Amino acid sequence: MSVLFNLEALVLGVALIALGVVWMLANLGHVDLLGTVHRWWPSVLVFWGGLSLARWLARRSLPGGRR
Amino acid sequence: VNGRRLGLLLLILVMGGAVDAAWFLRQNVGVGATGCRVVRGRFYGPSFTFTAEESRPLAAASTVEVENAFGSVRVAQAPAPELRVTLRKVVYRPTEDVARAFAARVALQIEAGAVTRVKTNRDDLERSDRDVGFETHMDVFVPAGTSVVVRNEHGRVDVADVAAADVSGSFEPLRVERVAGAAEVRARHGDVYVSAVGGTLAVSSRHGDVQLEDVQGTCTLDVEHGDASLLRVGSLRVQAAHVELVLQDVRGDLEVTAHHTSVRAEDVKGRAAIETSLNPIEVRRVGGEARLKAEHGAITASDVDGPLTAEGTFEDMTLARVGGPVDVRVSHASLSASELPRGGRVSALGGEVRVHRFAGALEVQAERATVDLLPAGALADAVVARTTFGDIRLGVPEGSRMLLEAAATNGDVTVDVPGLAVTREPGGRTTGTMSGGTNAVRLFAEHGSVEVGSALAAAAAARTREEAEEGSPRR
Repeated sequence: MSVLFNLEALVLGVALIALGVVWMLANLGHVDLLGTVHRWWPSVLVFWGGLSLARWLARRSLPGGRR
Repeated sequence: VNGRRLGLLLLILVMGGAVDAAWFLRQNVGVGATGCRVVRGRFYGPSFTFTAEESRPLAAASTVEVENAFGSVRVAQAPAPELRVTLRKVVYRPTEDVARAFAARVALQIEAGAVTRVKTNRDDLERSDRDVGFETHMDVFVPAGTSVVVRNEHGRVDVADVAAADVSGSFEPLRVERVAGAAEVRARHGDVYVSAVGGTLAVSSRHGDVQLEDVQGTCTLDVEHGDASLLRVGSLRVQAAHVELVLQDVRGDLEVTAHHTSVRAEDVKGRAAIETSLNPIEVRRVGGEARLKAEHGAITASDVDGPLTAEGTFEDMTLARVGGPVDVRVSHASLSASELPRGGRVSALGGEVRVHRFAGALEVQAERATVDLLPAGALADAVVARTTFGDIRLGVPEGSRMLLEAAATNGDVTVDVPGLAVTREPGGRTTGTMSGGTNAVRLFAEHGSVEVGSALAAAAAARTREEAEEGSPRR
């Protein structure tokens, strides 16, 4: 399994996509932008933490152990 | 942890904080045409109104209980023997579609039984959607002769034309009118207006003004932190704190137990018992006995038909036209009383005691006070006055009878009454008899003088003193 992805870029990219989708839905009158962002923004931290954990576990499974 | 990652983490946290701050501002602060206002809770921003209605037959003389929150409740008489409820739902959501979807979930619930209950499913909705603000305004129409119970929080209540009413509410006014039987009202942080109650009335209010009118039965009022005005009520019992209390036309007995409360009562048909502190008591036209007590408060009473008992401290007491005997205790203040046809007892500490136009037996016990007595007519009853560090002045009208005994230590006894021959005894004691009277008139002053003169001269001297006092600056 390749773990050499750029973690920061992934988090930033997903966050930007999510923000853009929510913003667009708000413009279409389907969601409340501020309310949704206010409710869901801590999930970015959860997502990032999850990815960091996954990368650490993947590195341990590589030949040669921890890098 | 490298610098880029730390920077991104800080960026996310700053963005999150900014979103939280924006959310707080949107929920609590609004800027509009009327300026900036700070509100708390969910009831801010765009709102949309939707209406629902439900009705069902209801027998006469039923009891309807209405439970609501965050919205008004209006109960009125229905033209037909039915229960009809109109529910107006105001939903605070950013778009009408979202608001409509939420409003569709706000339902009216009417439970039939011995008591018909009317409410909404607000509790369920608030558990699942705690951030959504919505108001539920109810118009409830009931048949004639219906008893009504209303429990409302954060909403105005109007109840009219019912058999009996039990109403409680908060943060908005409560108005109850034309109740055939008993009524009970409990309010917090809202004004209360009740009128035309055929039975008894009990009102409890905190942090709001109270206005009650035309109550036929006994009325009980428990009020704190607000003004209270009562007009044309039956027998009345009041407990009050930090209130300005105005009572007019009490058609029975009046009992007020209060502190930090001013009390003004007029036209009390029965007896009046009033106790307060740090504020004045003023009563006019009491048909029965009056018992008044004001700590650190002035007392003014006039036209009391029955006996009067009054106790006051640190503020002056003024009595006029009291039909029964008086029993007065005043400390560190003056007493001015006039037209007391049945006399009475006065105990005074400090200040001045002035009793004019009295009749009947009178006893004055004073300390550090000057006593000024002027009867309404010829003296025929016992008059006893004792004081220390002050003078005693007695005006004797023509035709009086008395057995005089007067003494003054460290002062003089002066007697100048036509027809009153006196004998001065060793030790400063002076005795005398006028017209063969046997009624004792005993005047004793320690560290003061005793002056007995004709009433005309005394009245003239009193007028001169009053004019001098009116011309001098008030304390």
